[in-house]
Amino acid sequence: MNTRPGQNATFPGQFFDGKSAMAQKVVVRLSTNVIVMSHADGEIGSWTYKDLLAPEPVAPNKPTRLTHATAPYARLVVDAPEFAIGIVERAPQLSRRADRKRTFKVVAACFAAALIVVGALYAFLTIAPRQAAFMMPDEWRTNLGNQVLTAVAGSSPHCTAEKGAAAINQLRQRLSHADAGIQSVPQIFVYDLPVKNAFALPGGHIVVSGKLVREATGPDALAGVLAHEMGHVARRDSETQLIRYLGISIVETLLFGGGSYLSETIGGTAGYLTLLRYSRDAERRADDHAIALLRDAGIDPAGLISFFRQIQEDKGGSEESSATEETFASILSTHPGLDERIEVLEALEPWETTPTLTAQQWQALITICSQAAQ
Amino acid sequence: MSADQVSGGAVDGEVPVKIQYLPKPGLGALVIKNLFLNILTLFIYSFWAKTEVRKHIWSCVQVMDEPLEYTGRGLELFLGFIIVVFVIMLPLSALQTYVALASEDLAVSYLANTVSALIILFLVGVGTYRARRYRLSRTLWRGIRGTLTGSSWRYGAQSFIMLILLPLSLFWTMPWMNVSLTSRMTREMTFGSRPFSFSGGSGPLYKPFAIFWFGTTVFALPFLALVIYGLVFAAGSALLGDFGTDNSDATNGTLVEIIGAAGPILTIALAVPLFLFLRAFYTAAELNYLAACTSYENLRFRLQASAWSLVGLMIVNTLILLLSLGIAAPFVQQRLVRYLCDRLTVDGSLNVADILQAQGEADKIGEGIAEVFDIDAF
Ligand SMILES: [Zn+2]
Repeated sequence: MNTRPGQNATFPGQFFDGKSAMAQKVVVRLSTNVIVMSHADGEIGSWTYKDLLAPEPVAPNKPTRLTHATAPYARLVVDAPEFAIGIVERAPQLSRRADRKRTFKVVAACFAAALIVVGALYAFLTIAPRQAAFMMPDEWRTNLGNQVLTAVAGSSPHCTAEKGAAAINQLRQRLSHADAGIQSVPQIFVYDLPVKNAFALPGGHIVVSGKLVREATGPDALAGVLAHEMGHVARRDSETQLIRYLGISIVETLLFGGGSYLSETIGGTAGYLTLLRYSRDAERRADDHAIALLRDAGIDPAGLISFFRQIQEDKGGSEESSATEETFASILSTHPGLDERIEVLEALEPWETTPTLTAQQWQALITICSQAAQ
Repeated sequence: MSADQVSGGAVDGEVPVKIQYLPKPGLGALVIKNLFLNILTLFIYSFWAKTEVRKHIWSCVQVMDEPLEYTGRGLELFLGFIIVVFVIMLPLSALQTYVALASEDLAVSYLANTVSALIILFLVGVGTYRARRYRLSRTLWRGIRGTLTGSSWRYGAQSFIMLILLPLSLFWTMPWMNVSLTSRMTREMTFGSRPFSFSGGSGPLYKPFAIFWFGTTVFALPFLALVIYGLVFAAGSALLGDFGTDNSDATNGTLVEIIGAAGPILTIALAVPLFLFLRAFYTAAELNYLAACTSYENLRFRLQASAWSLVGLMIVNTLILLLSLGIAAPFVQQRLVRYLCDRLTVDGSLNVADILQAQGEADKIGEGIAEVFDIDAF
């Protein structure tokens, strides 16, 4: 059986000097601090135990292969279990255990690196996009906005009936006057989209669907929706979201090479609208912004409340709607916590209000798409 | 045995060379360990995992009863990856992003994307060459390593041009491309101080290639046409169903549906195996020819790959990958290496004393580009 070799035990082995491919038969002796290799012509070299290296961990059940820090290409092969046992005793760095320790260190370092990567990605995808959204040149924002507008509303009719446009212009002026921090008065585009929706475009403009206008309970509701979207504009939520998406796709490309799954999924109306889904927090802030605007403009927040209730109902009765509509209904409904948002609006101290639009103006506004439809 | 049996300790003069694959236990355990550690470290460990797998597979290849040794390190692969990400991928992504944001013209965007796709196509060749160079420099036999002495940029340029020509020539440049690229790489390859050589043009490969090309075109295309026909009619019948114009036409509808359903099944049942077999037929011919053109010192190589065995290898490997969700990929690598070793015969004899250590520095970092684009299985 395997026995421990004593001092100066010798073993037959094969030696490759790392200079030529020739094999040399040698006798290996385990000396005090070194292993000594010799053949018939005499000693050919000695290796210190502490600088011995093993390409794979030494074990008694397989030939021992060794090399030395001073001769990284030289190889010594000894096929004797006793040698394996003896050499591991003298050079513990060759053992399986030492190998496992080295692996553990690598894994620990990889684990730490993984934590750093996760942290950096978190910062890159949460904090950095908003910073970038405010640093972005206006030209880029406009370009982005045009791209989104083309993707979302490209083939839908643009509603520009004159009187309706005048009415919506009055609404936007009134809200913009109330907005102290406004940088530029947003343009409001009405498109006859097949969905009931409104969204802020990068670059600071707002798109409202004809369906939303038609089905709104009144001018106050529409004003509430616009004020909410102006909140998204003020905080550049849509720019932030798109930059975040770009960041995700860059990370994805870096990690998995080309052929991004996300960029294939996202695209077209549904894709962009999914992208423009904001967090609960962003919605709450947009609501706060809307409340401030409505108050300063003297518009009744009950309109916004009725709009939220309408979405809730749409969501409840979505069984009959088509698949697309359902998607959008659920997107709107994830404008999160509608109950909570309604509660906030209902808890407001009432303020003095003046009518938002005249009945004729409202009538003109809800038929703003009729010209486009002709 | 005692030392006095051999004078001066030196053994082997002019000797025949035998290459064998002797599998060792432990690959399964290694795969499971690597999977666990990869998940734990969000796959950052994968570079070290890959290194361990290579060490295992290399050590199963015995040349004249002495195993190959893989001396690469996980850290080298990791650094190679990081450098490519920051030097190539990040700037390319940044460029694309910048163009997408800053240009109003979609055409400019497309141009930027095309340019980066071309750059990547060029880098694939460069990466392939560098990966081979790295692996050769990390492969030892009897303490001697291999090298690749040429320029990866030149190889990349050649492969780039040939890859562009490939679709333009309806793939007829494929044998020429493969032989030229292999020839260049082989002639620039050394083991130790001695070079490999490669002699032969692509001419002899055109007969098997013609069989492959015409076989695919003549037999596979009709099946493809049938599928398209089937799909079109299936779509047509679905439209009929929606508008419900004519219910009495049910038999016709059923027939159309049968063709619609049968088309894809027929293709899978006939065209795909046919194509796989024809491709294996050509690949076997090409591999055997490339081996026959290669020599090292007085050694000639004879590979006996066959279409059927390649098809079998491919099917089992695909099943292994699919059923294990890619986790068992090392077994696929092992099977490939084993297939080549089992079917490779080396004729002639070698004077090992003539082979001295390779000169020059070995690469300091690993395969980067190949790693990023996942160029090959090893
Ligand atoms: Zn919102």
